[in-house]
Amino acid sequence: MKRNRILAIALAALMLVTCCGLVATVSAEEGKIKIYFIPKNLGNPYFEALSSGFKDAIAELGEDKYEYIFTGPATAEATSQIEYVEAAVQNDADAIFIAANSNDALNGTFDDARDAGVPIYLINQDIPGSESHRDAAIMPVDFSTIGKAQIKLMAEQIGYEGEFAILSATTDAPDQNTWIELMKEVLANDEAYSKMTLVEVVYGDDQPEKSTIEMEALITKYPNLKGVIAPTTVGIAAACKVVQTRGLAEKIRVTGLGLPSEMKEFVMDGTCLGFQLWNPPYEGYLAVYLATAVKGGFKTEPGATFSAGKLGEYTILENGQILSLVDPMLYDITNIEEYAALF
Amino acid sequence: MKEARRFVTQNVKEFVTLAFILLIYLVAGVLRPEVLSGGRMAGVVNSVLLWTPLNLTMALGMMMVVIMRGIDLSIGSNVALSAMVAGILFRDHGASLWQGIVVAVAVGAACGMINGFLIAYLRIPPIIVTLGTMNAYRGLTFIISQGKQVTGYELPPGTTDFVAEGVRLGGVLIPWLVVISLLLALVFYLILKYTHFGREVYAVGSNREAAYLRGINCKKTEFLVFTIVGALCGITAMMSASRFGYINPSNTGKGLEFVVISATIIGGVSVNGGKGTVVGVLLGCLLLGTVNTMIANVGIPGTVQLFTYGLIIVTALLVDRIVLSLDSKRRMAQQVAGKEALR
Amino acid sequence: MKGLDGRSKRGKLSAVFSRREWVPFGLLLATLIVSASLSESFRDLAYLLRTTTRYMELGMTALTMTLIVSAGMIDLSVPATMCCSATVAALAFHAGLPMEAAIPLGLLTGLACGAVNGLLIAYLNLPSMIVTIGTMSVFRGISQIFIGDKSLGKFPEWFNSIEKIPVFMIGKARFGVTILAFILLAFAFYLVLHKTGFGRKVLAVGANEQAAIFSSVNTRRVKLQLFLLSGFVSGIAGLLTMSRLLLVRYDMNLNSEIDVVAMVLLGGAEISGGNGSIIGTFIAVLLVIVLKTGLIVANVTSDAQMFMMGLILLLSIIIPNIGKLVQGFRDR
Repeated sequence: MKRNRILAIALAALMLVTCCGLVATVSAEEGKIKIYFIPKNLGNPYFEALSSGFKDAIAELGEDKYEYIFTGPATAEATSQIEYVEAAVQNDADAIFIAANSNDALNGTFDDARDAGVPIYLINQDIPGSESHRDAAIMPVDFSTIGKAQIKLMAEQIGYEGEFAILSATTDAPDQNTWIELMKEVLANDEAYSKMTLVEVVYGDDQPEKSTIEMEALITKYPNLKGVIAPTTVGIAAACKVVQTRGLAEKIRVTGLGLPSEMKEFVMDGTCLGFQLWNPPYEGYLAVYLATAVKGGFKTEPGATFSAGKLGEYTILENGQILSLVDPMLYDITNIEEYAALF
Repeated sequence: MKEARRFVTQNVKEFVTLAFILLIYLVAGVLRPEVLSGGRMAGVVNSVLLWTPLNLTMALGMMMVVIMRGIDLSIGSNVALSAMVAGILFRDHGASLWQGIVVAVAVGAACGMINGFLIAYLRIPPIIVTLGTMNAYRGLTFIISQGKQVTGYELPPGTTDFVAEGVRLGGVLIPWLVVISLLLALVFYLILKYTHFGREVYAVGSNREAAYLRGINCKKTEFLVFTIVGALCGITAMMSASRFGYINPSNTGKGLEFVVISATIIGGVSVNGGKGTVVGVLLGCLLLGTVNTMIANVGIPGTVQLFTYGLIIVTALLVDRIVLSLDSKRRMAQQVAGKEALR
Repeated sequence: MKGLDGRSKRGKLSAVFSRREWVPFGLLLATLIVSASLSESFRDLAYLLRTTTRYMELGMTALTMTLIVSAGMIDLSVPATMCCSATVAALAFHAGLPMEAAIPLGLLTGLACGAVNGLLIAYLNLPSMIVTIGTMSVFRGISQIFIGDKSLGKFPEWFNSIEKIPVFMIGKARFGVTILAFILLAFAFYLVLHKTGFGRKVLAVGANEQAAIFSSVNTRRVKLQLFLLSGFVSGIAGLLTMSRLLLVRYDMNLNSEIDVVAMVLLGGAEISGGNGSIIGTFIAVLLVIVLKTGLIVANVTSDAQMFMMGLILLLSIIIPNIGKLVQGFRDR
């Protein structure tokens, strides 16, 4: 019996070794630039798209000169990213790019990393209020343009009048809340939109079930609803799905920020006339060039410029941000197929 | 009249749940009177109806497991895995919808068999086995999908028709998903009530020793139950693909286990085994569906929803317990009175 | 396995070797060896001690959970309680109370959460699993209502990063306060569960509640005390987490209830009650730390980590029972 057990433990150890051996990546080699990209969570198509940009740039600059590690938590929760940052530092990363799940929960971790000499770059968003804890932030677009752009798109689709609602992600998503504030500002100040009323902001928590229920409830609550802005990929897909199955496309227009690959079917069948987004792979592409430049002695100071291959020159702004695009792009029936194949 | 009263007293538990559902509608009506108006009501009912099928289908399986004093935490992951396998077949191998359904059910059943084998034949406690397989199946889903989701246009055409089309019943559209889950509920009602197997489930749950002595093959029953739960996971997987229009390694089936367990126990299935009815579980699902949709429809602010949800669950448990204890006191009093009358 | 089976009569040494805790211990050694061989970065005591701290907070609650599971119950509201206590303390501080007064308030909140669970479960005979699934939303909901989309921070300097205060240093490696607290707490709970009358009552409630009642154990009081204890320790853990993060948010430790349960089950506690081991849980906490840290630092993605975690859980229960399994296959 006892021997049995020792045997079994040995067996288990062996299994562990083989399993780990199978899944572990090859350990570091000297002289390579080691880049970590930590997304909000794995299994998120958006960050898959972003990651493809990293790979493109690395393919261009030479596979043998880089070690690229795409890893992160399985669920998007603020503190679950801490251990990944710590592990990256422990592995002597040359640059950490992170799409943080919180504006400030990682501040302590970032400070420790930077003390250890590893630069921290935010990617896809900034951390308002905690900018001093990071080196730079690669932004998809100038976020201050999003509020205006989204309202304008909505207005065009519903003819500049009527009730509309916003379907957001979680109540504490920093970028979402910034955009919603900007949208409200535009509505209040611009005469052109005086006939449009924002009836409610609801939160689908970026879960399919909750987003669907909230969307259904919006339709029930506001019989005169003419449009919904969902500035989140899960939300806009869920909203379009509800509108599509209920055959309400003519009555309720859905727009927002979405991924072309997820939105293709809704654009093709006319459920969605058009939505916006930037170009996520650009951000990843840019990131690799930034990390390479920094490795070569470039300092991330406001005003400094660096070149990013086929995308051209980029300047670091006063607030430490780098804008991969200025305005969001419009995706509609004319270009959806082209981009859906990419991301 | 007397019979009606007996019917009520024999099914107190079910009537309490039903009363609680009505109470929620009442409270919602007080908070926001327009929710109960004709046009609105149809929307609310439709939302509740669409919330129910996935959870009801799973709850039917969970009910049998709980009746046998077990628990299955792996259902959410199992749903994700079977959906993903089918999804990959759809995307990469052009499988038809029906082939996908067969594969999903087969994969689900196979996962259920693994659970069942470990639990029934190796006598490992269900919570440990399913906690383990919950992680393992979810991990496997990520591994086979390489973290990529299967999006809407990659699903075979007609997948989502089960939500949009259905049976018209006096002006109210009952989607096919709901019809299927109700048919399943009917089948399980008949199985549990009238078949040998169904009675065995209750027998093993209320007293395993006694069941064994009566010649029931307890292991086989337990193994079968977990296999059936697995097959139901496969069905739910396809329902989820139909309702949400995509299959995502991290979102699909997430958190399903807690909701289903709540619905099952609120529906009167005893964690001590041996007790539980399909009608009760159906009511439990309707109760949770009502809570979820009403929270959105009444327009409870995003930040207060979680609290409200928890509070209603706890209140439902409390009300149930108080009514039942009053009822049992009354019965005891009746018995005493009856005995005294006999003297 | 606790000396009740025949083998223990053969002598003390044999009894020691037949203990259940050898299984998590063996797995711990195995994962240590694997992790160390997988990645050079793992072989660094300073790093290990640093990352360890994070899991110690959950580890503390795993200790109380061991007691609760031993009594045949479960508490899924632990992370929510941690969050709620931290929230109340932070709110009190921001309302103008000194931190010294806010901390006891946070701990009291933990106790109150435990009391709610305990009263519902012990005195209304409601099943612990569903009650705590419900209260988990309630407690977290409370912090969501008060904090919303913000985070509360900016605490006095002495409160921030308590875990970084070294008890002693081993070279560059810091043995911090939180680690010491966890070890002391584990020792205390070992004494409570295995050496006191209360511990015996807990095990009696778990083994057979009816029998416990007949042998004049006030089972309701024992259950209430357990949940109060759980709430209190969750309060401590919540405040420590807040100190480490420098702030509190409503999604603190979201979804980690399953991790706590896994630690307890890995440690060999029987979910049906009547058997639990603090030593086992202690080793299991270390096992989870080594497993997670080892895999993350070796750049294993979280999907494969989940798969491994599931495998380890299953192994931990299959290995000690190989003999029993063969036998179990034959009987009912």
